[in-house]
Amino acid sequence: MIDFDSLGRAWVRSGTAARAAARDVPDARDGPDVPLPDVPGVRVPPADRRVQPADVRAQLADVRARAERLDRDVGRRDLRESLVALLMLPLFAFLAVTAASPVSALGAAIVAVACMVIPLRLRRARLGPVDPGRPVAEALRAQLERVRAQERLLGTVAWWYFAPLGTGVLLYVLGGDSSTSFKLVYLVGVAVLYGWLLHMNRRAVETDVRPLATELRRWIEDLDDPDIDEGA
Amino acid sequence: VDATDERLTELLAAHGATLRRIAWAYAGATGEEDDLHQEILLQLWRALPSFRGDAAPGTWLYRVALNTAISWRRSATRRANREPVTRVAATNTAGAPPGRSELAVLEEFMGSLGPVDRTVLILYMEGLASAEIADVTGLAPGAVAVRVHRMKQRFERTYVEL
Repeated sequence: MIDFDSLGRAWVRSGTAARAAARDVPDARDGPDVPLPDVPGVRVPPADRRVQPADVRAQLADVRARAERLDRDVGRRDLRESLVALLMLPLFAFLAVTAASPVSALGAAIVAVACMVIPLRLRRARLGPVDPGRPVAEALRAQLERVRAQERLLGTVAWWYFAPLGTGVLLYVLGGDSSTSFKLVYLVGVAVLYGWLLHMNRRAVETDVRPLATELRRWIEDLDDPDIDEGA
Repeated sequence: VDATDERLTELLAAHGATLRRIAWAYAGATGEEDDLHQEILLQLWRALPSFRGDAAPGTWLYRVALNTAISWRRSATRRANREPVTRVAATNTAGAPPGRSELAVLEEFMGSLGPVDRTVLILYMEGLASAEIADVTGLAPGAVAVRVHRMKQRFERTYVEL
C-alpha cells in the first residue's frame, strides 16, 4: 500500500538511483539491492544526506576544472571583443582625419566613437548572475528584474547599436570617391544586413526573453498566492 | 587546499546526497541529472566566498541548489522546444496499480505538481521544518504548512482512496 509517508523512502532511493544511472554500472554501496534505511515517515534522516569523503574530493576536482574552463572561455570572449574595439577605434580615427570629404570624416568619427561606447554599454549590460544564496522567491524576483532590463536593452538596440554604426559607415561611403552605383549597392546591402540583424534580435526577444519573463512571473504569482491552483 | 575548498568539502560531506536528489528531481526527462549536479556544485563553489553566514550553512546550500536547479530547468524547458519537462507525464493515472514501485509513484506525483509545490515537497522530504522551508524559499511558514497539507490531501485522494 502506497501512502504519503512512503514518498520519503522513494525520495531516499532517488539519489542512489541517480548515482547508479550516472555511473551506468552496478554499485555495491548504492545499488538498488541495498536495503533502504528505515524511514519512519516521509522525512530523510540526516545520515542519508551525507556522502563519502572520497566522492567529495572527486567532485571538488571536477568543479575546479569546470570553473577554470568556463573562466577561460569568458576571458577569451572578453579579449576578442576588446581587441576588435581596439583595432576598429584607431582605424576609424585615422580615416576620420584623412577622409576625402567632411561627410566621410563625420561618418568615420561616428564609427570611432561607437567603437568606444558600444563595448562599454555591452559590458554594463552583462550583469553577473543573481546571488544564488538568496531565498528562492527573492532570487526569482531579482531574475525577473534582470530579464526586464535585458528586454529593454534589446528593445532599444536599433538606437544604441545599429544606428551609430550604420549611419557612420553609410556617411563614410557616401562621402567617398566611389561611383554612385557602388554607393547605391552598398546602401542597399547595409540596409538589408541591418534589417536582418534587427529581425533576428526581435525574434530573440519574442522566443527567449519574453517567455522567460512570463515563466518567472508565473513562479512569482505561484509563490505569492498559496491558494492558486498549482495542478499541471 | 584553500578555505573555499575546505568549507565546500564540509558542506558536501554533510549534504552531498541531498544535492544528488535535487538534481534527480529537477533534471526531469532530460536525462541530464549529472550535468545539473555538476552545475549545482559549480554554483556552490563560486558562491561560497561571498557567503557571510547570514543563514545557516545548510539553508544556504539548499537555496543555492534550488535556485540553480530552477534556472537550469527553465533553460532545459526552453531547449526542449518550450515543452514542459517532466520526468513523467503530468496527467495522472487512476491511483497506483498493485506492485508499482514507490519511486515510480513519487516521479509521477512530483511531475503532477506545480513548480513551487515541487520545491516545498523536496524540502519537506529532506526533513526541514516549516520555518526552515520558509527560510529557503521565502514563503511564509503558514503558507508552507498549507501547501504540505494540501499536497498530502491530493496524494491521498489520487493514490490511496481507491
